[in-house]
Amino acid sequence: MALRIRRIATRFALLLGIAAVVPLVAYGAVSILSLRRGTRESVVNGNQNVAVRAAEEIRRYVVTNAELLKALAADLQDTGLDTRQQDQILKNYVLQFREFREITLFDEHGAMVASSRVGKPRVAIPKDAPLTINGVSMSPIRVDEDLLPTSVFAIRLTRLNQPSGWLAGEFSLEEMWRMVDQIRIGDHGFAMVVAPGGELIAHGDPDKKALVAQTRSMSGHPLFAAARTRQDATPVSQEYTGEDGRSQLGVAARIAQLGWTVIVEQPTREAYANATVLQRQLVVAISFALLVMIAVGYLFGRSFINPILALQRGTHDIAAGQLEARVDIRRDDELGGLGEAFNTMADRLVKLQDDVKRQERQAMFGRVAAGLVHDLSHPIQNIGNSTRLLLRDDADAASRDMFRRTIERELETLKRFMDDLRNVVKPKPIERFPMEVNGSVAEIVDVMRPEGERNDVAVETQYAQGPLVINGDRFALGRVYRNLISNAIQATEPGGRVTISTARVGDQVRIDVADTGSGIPPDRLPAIFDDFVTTKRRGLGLGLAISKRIVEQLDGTITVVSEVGRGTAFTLRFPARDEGSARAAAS
Amino acid sequence: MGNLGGKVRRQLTVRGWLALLCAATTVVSACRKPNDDHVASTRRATLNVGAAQLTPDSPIAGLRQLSQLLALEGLARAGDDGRMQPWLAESWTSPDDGRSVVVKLKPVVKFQDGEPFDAGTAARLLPDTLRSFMGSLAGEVVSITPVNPTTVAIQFRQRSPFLIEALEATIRKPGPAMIGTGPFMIEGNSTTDLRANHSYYLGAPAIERITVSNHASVRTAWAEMLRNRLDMLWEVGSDALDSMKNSSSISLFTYTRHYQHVIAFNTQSAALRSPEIRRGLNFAVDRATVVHSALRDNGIPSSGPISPRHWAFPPDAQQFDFDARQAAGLLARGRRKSDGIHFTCLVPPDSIDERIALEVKRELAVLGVDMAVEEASRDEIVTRAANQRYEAVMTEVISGPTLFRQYLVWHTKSPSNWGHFGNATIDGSLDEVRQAPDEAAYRTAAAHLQRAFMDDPPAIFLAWSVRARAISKRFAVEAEEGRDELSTIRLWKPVNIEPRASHN
Repeated sequence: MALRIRRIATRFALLLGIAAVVPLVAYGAVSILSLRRGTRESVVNGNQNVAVRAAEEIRRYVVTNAELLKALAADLQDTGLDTRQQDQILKNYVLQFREFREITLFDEHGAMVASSRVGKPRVAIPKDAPLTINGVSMSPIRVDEDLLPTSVFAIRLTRLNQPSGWLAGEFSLEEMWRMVDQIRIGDHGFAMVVAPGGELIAHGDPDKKALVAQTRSMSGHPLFAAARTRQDATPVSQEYTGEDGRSQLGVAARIAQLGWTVIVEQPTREAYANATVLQRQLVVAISFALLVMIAVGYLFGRSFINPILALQRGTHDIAAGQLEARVDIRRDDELGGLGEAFNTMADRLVKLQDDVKRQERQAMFGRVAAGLVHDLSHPIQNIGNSTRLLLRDDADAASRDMFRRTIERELETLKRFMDDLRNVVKPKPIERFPMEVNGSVAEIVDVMRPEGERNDVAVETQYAQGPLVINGDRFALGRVYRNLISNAIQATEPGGRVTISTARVGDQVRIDVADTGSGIPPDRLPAIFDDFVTTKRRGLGLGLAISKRIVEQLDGTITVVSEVGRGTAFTLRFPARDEGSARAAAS
Repeated sequence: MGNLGGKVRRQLTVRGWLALLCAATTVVSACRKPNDDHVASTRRATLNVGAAQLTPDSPIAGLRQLSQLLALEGLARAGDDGRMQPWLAESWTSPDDGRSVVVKLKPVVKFQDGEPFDAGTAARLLPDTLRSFMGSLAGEVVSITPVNPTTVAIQFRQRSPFLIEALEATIRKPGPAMIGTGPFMIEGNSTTDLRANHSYYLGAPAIERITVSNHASVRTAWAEMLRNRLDMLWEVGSDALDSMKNSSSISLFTYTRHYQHVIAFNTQSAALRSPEIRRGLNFAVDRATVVHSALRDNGIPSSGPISPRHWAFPPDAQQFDFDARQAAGLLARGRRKSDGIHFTCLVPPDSIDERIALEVKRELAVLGVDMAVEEASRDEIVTRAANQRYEAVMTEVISGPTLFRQYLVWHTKSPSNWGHFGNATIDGSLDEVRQAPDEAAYRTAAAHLQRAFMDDPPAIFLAWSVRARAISKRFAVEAEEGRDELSTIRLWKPVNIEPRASHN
């Protein structure tokens, strides 16, 4: 039964899972994957845009400053200024444009003409400038007297198409740092600028500016190599583990004109923080929806299954005879109607059972009354007749003696009748003593044999050899034997035969009482040991019931085999006693 | 009774759990990795200090000066507002006549060689100390006598507020070794190494050693700190301030120095003899632009010697606000010839001084003043100034916190006035301050002094310099409001922090 309940619950859970939970989980998983992929692509694209914009700004910054120097050169060479004026212009220029730490004007032979410096100039004409920006040559990145990276712009001056000198300016990369410092992504995303040779020129992270001062080579940086191999200006991105052990999302964009590489690094934890938060929110939302769905499913399933289980329990209770069982299903749907129908059915069953019991009681009372009338009327009538005859003066002694015996016999019959009734109401206690079966049976057979003769029924016996000893109550068993033999005689037509036999079968003693009578219909056999059940026209039907009760109290069994028209055989079985007991019983 | 027993049992149980918790905490603390951000127990930390251009041409002198700040102490020290606070002195009183001061010394002070600093020692050392600090004013000291082991009385010839302000003179024992009472002591004859004074009366410093290195420029020192070779930058240049502001491994402590950037004039030179010209030059300079352009806004425009934070600073003091028209008028009145004003300004080899000079030069040029800028070493500047072979000099002069410092710099009779700066007007105002009998007179004299610098300016006062000290977060700095962090080095504690970019 429990298994069946579980099956229903399992089926419902499976239904809930297949119809709701699995699709929701699948939807959630797909959503999370899509969200993760989408947000990551968005972050990478955003960082790439930042890197590209940063690269462009840095390029423009450098080019603009080269243009500034170029414009200054034009001012100096075309306006016929004297040295003092040139000197003043250079000094004012470095005040106005901090991007140049120093600007110095050289003649064609490399001698200083004017300088922004008050003291001795530090800048020199670059001899190996590999890069030209709009006519302004730019030296490779080198370290200055403080071992910090620097570069020099230089312009070849001409007058009347003849070389007339140089204008050289030391480009302050530290000023560029300020711009790089402003390139920030989140709280921990910074930009760095790497020269073609891998020299770190600028780093936006204040704590990593030391790497610039340490002239750190970035040629081993994974993005540096990747960016340099690109032919176009398309930025590259990569995730890698930084020196601090943190996972980094890096994007790199090249400044093709300068050969520089701008790398923007951001810890992946921060870069994907929004995605992580969204993902977490989605997981929470889906989990919540899942929990709600399971809870609702559980509650709905419970409200659906519980009435079915209640009906099942009620049905089982009714089947077990508990007709007072009812179901409490308070619903307005079909299940509620089913519950009401069940209760109505149970009420109807109770009423029917009460009717049957009442009818049975009435029938029983009628049968008992009829039996009493029948069983008592004959002996009372015989006693009355014998008494009247006994009191007649013309009755001789022999007749008187016969009438007296008739009265005594009928009184004995009444007494047994009354004993049977009393025994039904209050059974006599059984006493157990070792007793010899053959002897006790023979005593009763001898008593009953005259009755057989009166009914022209032969009473035959077949006793087993040797003593058959059981623990029994001699008087109680005598009543059993008498009932069985009497019933057999009464059920047997004149000329018939009643056979009483005893036997030892294994560790049991068996007593059979068989007749050649009319037999008992099969449909009545199961009830013949019940009280007030009889196949005879007279009698209360208590004999077999009392006999069965006595036999079972002595740990024995009583069975019956009958065939209509052939006869009936009752078999008694009792546990046999051992030899010592047999001798004691025999003595 | 049962309840009582139950309560006791509960208390015992609670105590048992607390004891277990404490034990667990102790074990966890003991097992914690030492590289956490906590104060290290080691006392063997060394603080590497980088300074720039203390005196480029005589670095030993400069380093010695720096070392003195850590090794020597005075009876008193000036607060940021110019008022004196006890240092080695516990307190002092000035009797009614104002011509003496009775100083009660702290009883537990010892020199670094173990000798107690008592009234007898103080009376023995103070004459030379005051003579060295006060110059000719030391002649005003009549007597210094111990009253008892912890009290010393100083008698002046006439009453003066400088009597108290001079107590900031640092005290050292005579001899070649620099022995004072400070928390750090100079290692032998070294000019760069100091070690902790374990018997310091305020408690032994947590830092065991200090090494000072001198660098060619502020930028050079900054680059060294970037490379994690320095724990402290004596001064951060304005160029580097921005890039260090956001560092998580370096703390910046910005402060306004009691020094000013000035262009001091040789008032005896032909070009600058006229007060009108000097006033005109002062009105011609836009100090806000100078601060913005040359100092990157790391400065406070000034137009006089008295700090606005000084307690006696006149609230209605006149200032040299930029006024081109007034400047032009004054310059026109003052110039002797019609061909304009020309003078040469000596500039020390410092990028900030150079930028200031160039900015001033540019601004003066607008009004037709030609200020030639000439680079000269500091020693050369001092030599030429002493010989009056200059017209103007770009320099930083001390301007506080007490007015006694101004007296030393600007009074023409002060031996500390290395450039013979100032004039009779200034001298008169400074003497008025020196002789002020009370605070009210002191305030009045300060106002007169400010006025004198306006009427007959011996210099163009440009800006109070704002500087910063950069200190690695490997040291937990105990900062005190209004005080230079240098004065609290003894309280600093080494912290074990792995530098984030020190892989090379």
